Amino acid sequence: MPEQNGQHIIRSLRQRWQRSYLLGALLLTAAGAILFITLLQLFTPLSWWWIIPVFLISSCFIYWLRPFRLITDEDITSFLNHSYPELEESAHLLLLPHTSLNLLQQLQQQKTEKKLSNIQPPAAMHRPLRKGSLILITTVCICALAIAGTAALQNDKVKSIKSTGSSTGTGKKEQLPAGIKTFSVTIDPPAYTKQSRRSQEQFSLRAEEGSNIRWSIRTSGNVDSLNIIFNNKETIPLTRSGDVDNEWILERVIRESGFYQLQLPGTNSELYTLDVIHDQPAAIRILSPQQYTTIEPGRKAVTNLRVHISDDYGVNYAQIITTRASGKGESVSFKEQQFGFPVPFSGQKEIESSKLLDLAAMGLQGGDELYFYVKVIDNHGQESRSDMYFVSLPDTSELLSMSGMESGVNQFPEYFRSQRQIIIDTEKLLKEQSSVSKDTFNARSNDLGIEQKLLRLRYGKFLGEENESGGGHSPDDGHDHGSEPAYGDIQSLIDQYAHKHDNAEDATFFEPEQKAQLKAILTEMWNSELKLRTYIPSDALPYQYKALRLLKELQQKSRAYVSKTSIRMPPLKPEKRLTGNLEKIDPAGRLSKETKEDIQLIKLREAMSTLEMLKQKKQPAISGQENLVAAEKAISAKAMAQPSVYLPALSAVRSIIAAPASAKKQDIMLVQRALQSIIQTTVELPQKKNVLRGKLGALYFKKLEQ
Amino acid sequence: MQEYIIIISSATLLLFLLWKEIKRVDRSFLAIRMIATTVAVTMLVLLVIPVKYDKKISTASSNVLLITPGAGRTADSFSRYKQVTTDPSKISSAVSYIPDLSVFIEQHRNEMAVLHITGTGIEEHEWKMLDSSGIQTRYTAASPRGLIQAEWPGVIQFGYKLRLSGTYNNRGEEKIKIVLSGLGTSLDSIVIAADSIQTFSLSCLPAHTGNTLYELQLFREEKLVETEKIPVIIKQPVRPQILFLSSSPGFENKFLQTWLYENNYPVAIRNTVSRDRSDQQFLNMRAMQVKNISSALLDEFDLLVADDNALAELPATASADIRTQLEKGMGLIIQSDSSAAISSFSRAFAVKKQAEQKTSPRILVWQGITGKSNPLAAEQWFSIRQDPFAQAVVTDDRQEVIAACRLYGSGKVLLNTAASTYNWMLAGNKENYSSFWSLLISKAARGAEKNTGWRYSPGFATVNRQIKLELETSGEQSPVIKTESGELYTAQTPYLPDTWTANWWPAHPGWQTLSCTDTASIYVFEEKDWIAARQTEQIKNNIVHTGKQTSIRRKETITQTNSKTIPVWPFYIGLLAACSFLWWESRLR
Repeated sequence: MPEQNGQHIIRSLRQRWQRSYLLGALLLTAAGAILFITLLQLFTPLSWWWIIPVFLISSCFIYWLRPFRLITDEDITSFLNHSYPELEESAHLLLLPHTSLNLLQQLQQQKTEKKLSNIQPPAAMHRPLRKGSLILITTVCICALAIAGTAALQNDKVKSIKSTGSSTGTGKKEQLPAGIKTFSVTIDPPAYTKQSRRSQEQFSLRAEEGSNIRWSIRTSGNVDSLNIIFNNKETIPLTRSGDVDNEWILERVIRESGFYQLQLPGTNSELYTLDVIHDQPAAIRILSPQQYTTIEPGRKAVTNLRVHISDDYGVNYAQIITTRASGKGESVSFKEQQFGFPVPFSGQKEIESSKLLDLAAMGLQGGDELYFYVKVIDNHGQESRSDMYFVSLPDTSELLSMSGMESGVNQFPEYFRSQRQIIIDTEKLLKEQSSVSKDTFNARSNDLGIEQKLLRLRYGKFLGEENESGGGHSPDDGHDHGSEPAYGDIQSLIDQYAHKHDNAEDATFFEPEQKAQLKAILTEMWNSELKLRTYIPSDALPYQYKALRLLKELQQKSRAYVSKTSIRMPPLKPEKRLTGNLEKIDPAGRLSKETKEDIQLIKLREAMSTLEMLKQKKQPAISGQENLVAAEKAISAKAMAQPSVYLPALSAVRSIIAAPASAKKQDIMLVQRALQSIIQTTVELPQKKNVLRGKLGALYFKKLEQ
Repeated sequence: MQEYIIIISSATLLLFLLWKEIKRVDRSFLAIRMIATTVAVTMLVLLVIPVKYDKKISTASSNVLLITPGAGRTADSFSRYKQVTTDPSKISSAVSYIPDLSVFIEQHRNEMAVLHITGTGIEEHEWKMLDSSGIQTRYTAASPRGLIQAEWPGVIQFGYKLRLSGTYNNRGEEKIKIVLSGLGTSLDSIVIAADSIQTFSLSCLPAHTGNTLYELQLFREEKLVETEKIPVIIKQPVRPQILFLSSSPGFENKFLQTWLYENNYPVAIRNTVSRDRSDQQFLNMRAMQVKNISSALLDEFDLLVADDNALAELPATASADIRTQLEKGMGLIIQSDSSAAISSFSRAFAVKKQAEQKTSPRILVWQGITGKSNPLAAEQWFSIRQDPFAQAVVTDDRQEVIAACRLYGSGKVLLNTAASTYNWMLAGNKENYSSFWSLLISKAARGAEKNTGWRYSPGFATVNRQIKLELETSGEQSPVIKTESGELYTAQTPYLPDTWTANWWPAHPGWQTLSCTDTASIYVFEEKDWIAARQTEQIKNNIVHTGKQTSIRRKETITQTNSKTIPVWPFYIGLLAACSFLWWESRLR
């Protein structure tokens, strides 16, 4: 099969060639897609996933555009003929069928075939692949560079924005007042802040409350004195330092915010802020228990106190202060106890701790209440307390007492089916649990459950719930409706079978609140019944107690007690009564309320228009200057409290007063903004309207009346 | 005349030549020769005398399109018209520039039938010229973008809110935020949705006095794109003096008096505490005798606040004095808490109880209330019957009138049935309380008399543009207005002897002070201020003018005859042909 071999070689060559072209083209398209998406990315944010669809589309396009799929075996043979002289221009013979060739051709075919199997695959075949991969690598590199470059540029921009933003703050290079060569301000924060001493080259200060601040200033020449004026009021001279020539020093403990300026002979510096960071008291958050907690009888008398404490500089000490209130009526006694937390406090900024308060160990019994709060002292000695929390233990003996219920009741057996009785029975059952058999125990528990059910149904009637035993009177109801009906009295005959007083309509004349409470009682009873019927009377007990407590509360609800108080009236003078004699009463008059503040306010209002005139480059009147001085005073007073807000306006108003004609618009705006916030009002006021009274109008009015 | 000589001599020549042709011995081609001769002579005559004919000009050429600033793309239907523009930026091959419209109209008034105007239109003086020229106009208005309209009071009094309303035409894709700012502070703002025309209203309560330049700042995506000026004059407060008469002490009056006292209003109070006994109080004023109400006493006060009972208890003379003072302009606020009109003053109002099982708090509504009004609790709600002579001042949320005002002479009588407004104060709602009572007191109180009134038009006084000043003053002599750049002499308006007018051309922008018997401040805008709003005003003006014009029908087209000369070359050819034939014919022999 010689010819087949030759054909096979040529075909495989063609396939390899086509594959190489295809791969090369794909690499090129990939490069193109990456480049395209990167370029788009530079302008609009775009996901990198877009490369895939772009690549696929352009690949299809390229496949259609570049006809390398059309390379035929003939093309390959002609290429081989061109590039390999040893084939003697006979490669195409290999494609022809063996039978159609003459002898010479056959010989040549065999010879060519041999040579063909020996030749190396042409280097040109791999060229598109090489080119493609080279371009792809270059593109990827360029794109990566471009993205990195733009990211760096944007970073620069952000940085420059940030730096311009913060240039108003601390990052600014301080403009030294004339006559001052160097200076430094050392802030020594107080010990409680646990911050180290720091020094700065800025006059504007932000220091913790109680910091010791030391200014050391070197003047360029020899000056007689150097002062610092605090808040425009207090002038304190700096002392000359002994060590260095022309060095002046002042130390001062700062407690309040304000502003200051340096006073050199002849000149004053600009104003500098003095911001004081006050120490905040510790924040206490009690996570559990709730503010009002009731521990049901039957539950364990413990409560878990979880608390979260935070402070800006650190917590030194925390304590739980509890007060136990016991007794009732007039014999209430209080006992205070203090507890620490199990964790040590050593200046942490945030602590979460918990403490189990064992009420029984603290001596609390039924009916007692426990009040407690948490007290925290931070390392500056500031004390803060939490809200008061209440834990109460209901009194079981009170609940079980028969007071108020002993008399006036027809003693029918059903009335013993009370919640109190059920509790007593349950407790008795629990006590006897060890001495009775399990079946008896279960049977008794079930019986109690049935009792509970009947009780629930009795209370349910109040809510209009239906009796399961159906309508009509039954002997079990425990009461009857008086005498037998007379003969012929149809109505009373009907009444005998209609349980009239249990009408659902009548049963619901309760306040919504009472109804809600009744419902809550029924829920507790349901729960109790469930536990009793499943033979766990010990679990039923808390529900029974709660039901009883709620019942008692409901009972007590409509009762209110107001204690009697005594007053003493002055003795009446009957001769003066109802005479209406007011002669000795002078008319009350309040003369002008117009106070200093009001007058100042008027000046400030006018100062606004003076500033408006300055904005228009017009010379204000002399009173305008006065108004500006008033404005300066007002802003200065504000600046003492909030230097960072009002200080720029203060220096602006000063520069305006110094040279009104050359006031900058920016300064004017600054002052106006400050004044606006000082004088702003939300209250509209009535005014006299302007009425134009011309002769013509008067005449017209007169004619109208005629 | 010349033509006649030529025609006669040519006719003679023709006759001679024809005669010669007939007389010729060789009579061949006689008819043709005679025709050729006639033709030759005729052609010769036509060569000498130009032949003219009349042609009617088509109507299209008498339509002119005037493109003014702000015009959009010219519609295709205009393309066959002659196009001119007054806007140098609109010049193109099809559009020629005219520096002055008046000159253009003067030149072309006879050949122009219809002048189509597009864009923002032309100015008032140009309209005058156009109206007199008899040219018909059609107007296609442009729609300017931006702040196309704005309205605010030029003068307000301290204590009043500044309320500004306007319209913004936002044709852009982005939202526009409009911020009212003044004195370095942003006071109020609103956002205009993208691609919409929206009216807006902004307000602030000025806390200062004097001439103030507020600004409307327009932000597109947090970027300041435009700023417009809002000049406002805030006048010093003029507080009315108030006299209270009450038949019994009450919370309502107590709160109102305290509020007035705290704001420095002079108040006198007469409170009946028992029969023939009254308690007097004077706040922010010196004590005087208010036991007996007399006309002289009332002269001191601008407003009387009284409950119906107190008015009913007054002696007849006092009632008469109050009436006289009301005629003169004093105000009266009657506090009523029953449906029965006890005094003669409240009889004019018909008050009825609002039938209600259980009174509930209601929201009161009055003019100029901004923000939310909190509901006001009352023991009983009354309503005042609507009548054409009483103005409803305050209504409740059921449209029942709670306070109404009637004119009485030149004064006002206001009946207020809301008797427990102090509940607002108790609830800490000072804004509603002060707004409510400011309205009532300002409405009723005697006005501050003024002798001179100033008016000017157009509203946007602009530098280097004419402003018509109107001065209302009762002086006998013609007033002279002093401006910064000289004096203005005024002319009296016919039929209105108190009104004087002057034309003023302000030379500088900014606040300008005009003084005559009193002074007035007018803010003069720069050319670049409020362009869109001024354009809108001009467009409206143009629409009005065009509307006036179209109501008078005029000739639609001008049929103009134009004489045209026929070119002479066909005559040359005719002459040459005829002569050639004659020459050729003579050569045959």
